Parts: sequence; structure tokens; C-alpha cells
Amino acid sequence: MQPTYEIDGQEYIVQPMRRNHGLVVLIEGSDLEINLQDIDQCKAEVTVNGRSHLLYAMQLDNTLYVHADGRHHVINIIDEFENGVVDERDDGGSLKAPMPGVVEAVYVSEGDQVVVGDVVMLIESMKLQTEIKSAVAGTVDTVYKTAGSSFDKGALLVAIAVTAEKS
Amino acid sequence: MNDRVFNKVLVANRGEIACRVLQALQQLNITSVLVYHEADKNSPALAMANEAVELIGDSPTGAYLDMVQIIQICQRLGVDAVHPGYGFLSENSQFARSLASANITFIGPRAEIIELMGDKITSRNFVAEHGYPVSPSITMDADDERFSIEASKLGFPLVVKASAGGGGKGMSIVNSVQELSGTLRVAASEAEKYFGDKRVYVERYFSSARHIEVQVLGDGEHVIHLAERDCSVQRRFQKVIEESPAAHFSDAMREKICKVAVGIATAAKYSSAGTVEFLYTPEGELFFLEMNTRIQVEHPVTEMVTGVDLVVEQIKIAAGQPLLIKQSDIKPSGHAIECRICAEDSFNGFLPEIGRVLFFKIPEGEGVRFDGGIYTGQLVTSAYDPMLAKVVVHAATRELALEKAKKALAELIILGVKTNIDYVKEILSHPEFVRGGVDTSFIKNYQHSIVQQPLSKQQQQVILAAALLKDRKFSLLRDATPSLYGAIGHWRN
Repeated sequence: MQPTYEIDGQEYIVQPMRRNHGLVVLIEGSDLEINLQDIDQCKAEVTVNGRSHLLYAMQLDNTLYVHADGRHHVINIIDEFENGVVDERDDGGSLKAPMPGVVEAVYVSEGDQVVVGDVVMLIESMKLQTEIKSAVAGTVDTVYKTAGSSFDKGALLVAIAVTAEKS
Repeated sequence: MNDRVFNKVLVANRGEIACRVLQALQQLNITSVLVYHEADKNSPALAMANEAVELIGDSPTGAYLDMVQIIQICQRLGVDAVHPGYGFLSENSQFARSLASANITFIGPRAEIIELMGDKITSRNFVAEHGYPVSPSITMDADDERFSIEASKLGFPLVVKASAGGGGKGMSIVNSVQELSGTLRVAASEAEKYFGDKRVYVERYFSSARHIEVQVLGDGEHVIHLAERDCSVQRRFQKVIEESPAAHFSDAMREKICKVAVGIATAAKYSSAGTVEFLYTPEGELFFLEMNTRIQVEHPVTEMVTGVDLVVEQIKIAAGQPLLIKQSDIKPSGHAIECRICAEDSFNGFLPEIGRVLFFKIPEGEGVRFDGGIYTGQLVTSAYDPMLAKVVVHAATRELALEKAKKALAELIILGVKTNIDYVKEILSHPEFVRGGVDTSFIKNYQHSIVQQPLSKQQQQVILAAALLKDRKFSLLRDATPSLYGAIGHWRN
């Protein structure tokens, strides 16, 4: 197991090596001796090669929220057992929600033909209305959400089967 | 003179503004009633209120808009007045009228004034008739064929607004005739959905103008102003940072804008706290934008420079007391800055974020005010506006206020949901903002220089060390392993 963490889209491996006074880990090619002293449930003192840093950290599921040195960080804990699932190859026909919200209007039905740029749905999220446009030409395969239903970020809204190009 | 203030006031709102109004009621020794939806049952506002009554409703927003239920609660509990806060029922004239017919006071201006100022077209006409400046515009039904021809005559860019809109809702910018039809469709849909009114109007959009507004207080006879606020720093037409006084704003211009605001409010026989919003172009032109007939989110900025408690004054005026503060009593001092703290991914297109507040720590100190009402365990959902809190600071000069604001933001910690705290700190450090060069396109113009600072090697190591040692899965594994040496082989596979 290689503990892997993602910060701002970049993955880092923190490789435990051996125990000294603290734990010796390998981060980005550097051997570092690290230690952590909990001050309370959230506040902790982290020592890296003898230098102390005060920080605040809370974990919810696989996300760690950290505040250190006046900045907030969101760290995703990468679970290697979940990485095995290969995403279905996306040809651009799956339209996903860019943010959580509510469906205002659905402009297409299953079986409809659409071209690139056709507005298929109008969604609303926190005062902001956004048109969901098709990125491909094809046939509407599935409309996952009806007007009035709510969804989370990343939820599938509409699937469009791409029309095979005729040469 | 009638010096009776109310015996019992109901607060028809939630979050930070509910806390703010409850605090004013405490100060006036008025018994308070808070209505709340089940989703807000753990809010600290409940503990601040003398009585709290649950509103029954499927959606939280629907509950806070349920006039019939709120009025029934008022009658049941013997409430004499309702403070609507901002948003929800705060600019709903029907609510004001329904309360009046139930013999309950609406803490705000008369229903006719809400109607006059709530409709962008009638308010523009009213302001123009009284000889005050409005920007060139046209009004039509969104589906009128001549719309695009007429609109094009004004010249691009244009801004399309819902007539009944306000507070940045139902607005969009159009840069070419080709974009117009799509925008009109969205605008008409938003207008009908939010306001039940399809009319839209189009006016010339000034991409580099500043948004400057004037706080007023009126008792129906006298109106005073409490100086201006610059609210130019906006994203998606929503304000992010507000300050008073406006930077690089001459005394002559300040006098002019405040005089126009007082003139408009006086013409309307305004009675309550209100805000007259203007666009101020680089050419020095001033245009009336709209008047908000409620307490505004950014009211603390004015309170900090004038020392006037606007909510207390609003309540006293609603109780029929004459305004005792004279214009000559208003002597703004120092500089105040407010930062709105929102749940969003600011560095990534301001997409709204959801989550749960796992931990928070608020900034403290002299001249630092935190209007929050957030609590540990609070779910941040898309059910409400993304604003969680406001950090407001006051110092002798703009420079000192900026330093204080940055320090306060560095002390503010919210874990469990992404917020704009670090983003706002970047704006406050941006050379152009520091110079005072703000206009409504500030965020758009400088989007490439208002960016997340890259992590230093040291920061990266500290965070990753904390990540490993705080990661519960790793701790479990470590605790279950008798000796770390024993597990190294397993780790290094």
C-alpha cells in the first residue's frame, strides 16, 4: 500500500520508510522525519525534520480539510482499492452536472436528434441559470433528470449516442 | 411623539441576518420570535431568540416564503411586528400588505414604496421624472420581434434585466446581436420563475463602471444619508467585497451622489433603512441603478464608519418614531471593508460547493466584526444562497483596513466545505485592488492574476505529513501493526 493524496489535482505519494524518533517518510524524493501531536480534536502540531507547524485538520470520508499557515487545503485520500474500476470510455455524449442544482427545463426527449451546441437542458444553481448544450451530434439516449429534480455535482443529466460519421 | 417600540417582534429569516436582527432586538429589550425550518434547527439563532417556532414546509426556502403560516404564527404568539431581513419576504409588498391587514407592522417601508422601487421600470421612470440620471434603455416583452433591432440601436455590450429583478438576479450581459435571442430566453424564464413577470429591459452596459451605493434612513418626512459604499468587486453580479468610503472618490462627487440619493428617497417619502445604487462611469457620469428597500448584506460597512446601528434605527422608524439622527450628526470616520464568505470553488469558476462545517474558528480583535451564525455540523447545501458569513473590519485608513482584513481572513478557519476565504485574501493583496482601481469588471479583468498561490516545498511537506498522520485509515493500519518495521515490506511492495 502506498498512501496517496491529491491536492489541487496533483497526486503525491507519502511512502512510510522506517521508524526513527518519528516516522520517516519519502515525499517527492526527500526523506523526512515527521511527527504529529494532537492538541485537540482538530488542532495539531506537525513536525517535519524538527520544524514545528501548527495546523487544523478534519477528515470526512476520504477528504481531509486542512488549514495551515493561513491557507485552506482540501486533500483527497486516494483509495487504491477503488482505483481499479475503469471508467467507461466517454465519447463526449454524457452530459454531467457542472455543479449541484435543480433542473429548470428539459428541452429534449429520448430519441431526439441533436447537433453540437443544441440546448438540451436548463439548470439552476444558487441564482445562476446555465444552459446544458450537447457537445456532440447524435441521438438522445437517456434523459436522467426531469424538470424540478435536483442533482449533485457530476451527476449524469443526459446521455447522447454519438452518430457514426459517414465518410 | 410616540416612543413606543414593539413588545414582540418576529424574525422571518435565517443565518447571519437572523442573528443580526435578534441582536438588535435584544438591545432594544424587545421579545423576539424566530421562525425556522427543520434544516436550521441547530442554528445559533435559535438560542438567541426568546421564542422559536418551526415552519412546516417541504423545502426550507418554501417555508421562509410561506406568508400565511408566518402570519398565523404572529397572531398565535401576539407578535406586533415582523423583521424580514434581506432576501425571502423582505421586498414582498403583498407580505407587507397582508401583515398590515392583520394589524402587524412590517419593518420596512410602506408597501407602495416597495412596489415602486421593486419594479425596475417604474422605479427608473420615477427617478427620471424627478430629474435624476438614469442610463439609456428600452423595455419590451422578451418575445417581441423588434426587440433585437431596437436593442442593437443602443450599442453593445448590453445588459438584459428582469423588470421585477434585483440583487443581481435575472441579469445577463450580451456582447453581440447573435447572443441576444438565447439570453432573452434565459432572462424571460428567470424573470417569470423568480418574479412571475416576463418583462425584461435592456440597457447599455458599462463594463468599466463602479458600483457605488448610498445608505439612507428616512422616517417618511426627513431623509438622511450615511455616506457611500463601493461594491464594485462582484462575480456573477453578486458582491464580494464592499468598502466605505469609496477609494479615489472626490468630496465633490461624494456630496453629489449622496444628494441625489437623498433626493430620490425624499421624493418617495421613504421611511426605513434603504439603499440607492448607482453606476459611476470613468467619464464621471452617474446613473441610478435601483433602490433596495431593505437592510442590505453590506450594512455593517456603514455601521462601522458611522457608528449608527441601522437595524435598531429601522425598528424604531417602523414603530413610528421620528428619526432623531440629523444629517450633521453623521460624521464618518476611518475606513471599513466587508468580505463575504461563500461556499464556492472561487479558483475554479466560482462553482457552488456543498459540504458540512466540521470545524470553524472566527477572527477576533478590535475593529474586527464577524457576522456569521454558522455552526459545527451545519450542512451547506444548494438550498440557500452560498453566503455563510461576513468579515468586516474598521481601521483609520484604507491601507490599515486592508491589512486588518487580510489578518482576519488568515485567522478565519472553516473546515468541511470549500470557501472563498483564500480567494478574497488574494484580491485584498492584488496591486490593482490595493491601488483602489476597482470597477465591476475587476474580477473578470484580473482573473489571470487572482490565482491560488502555488504550494512551497515546505508547505507541501507539512500538509502531506499531516495528511498521512491524520488519515484515519493509515492510523488504523498503523495501530493494528505491532511494529512498523514489520509492515515495511508490505508497504514497499
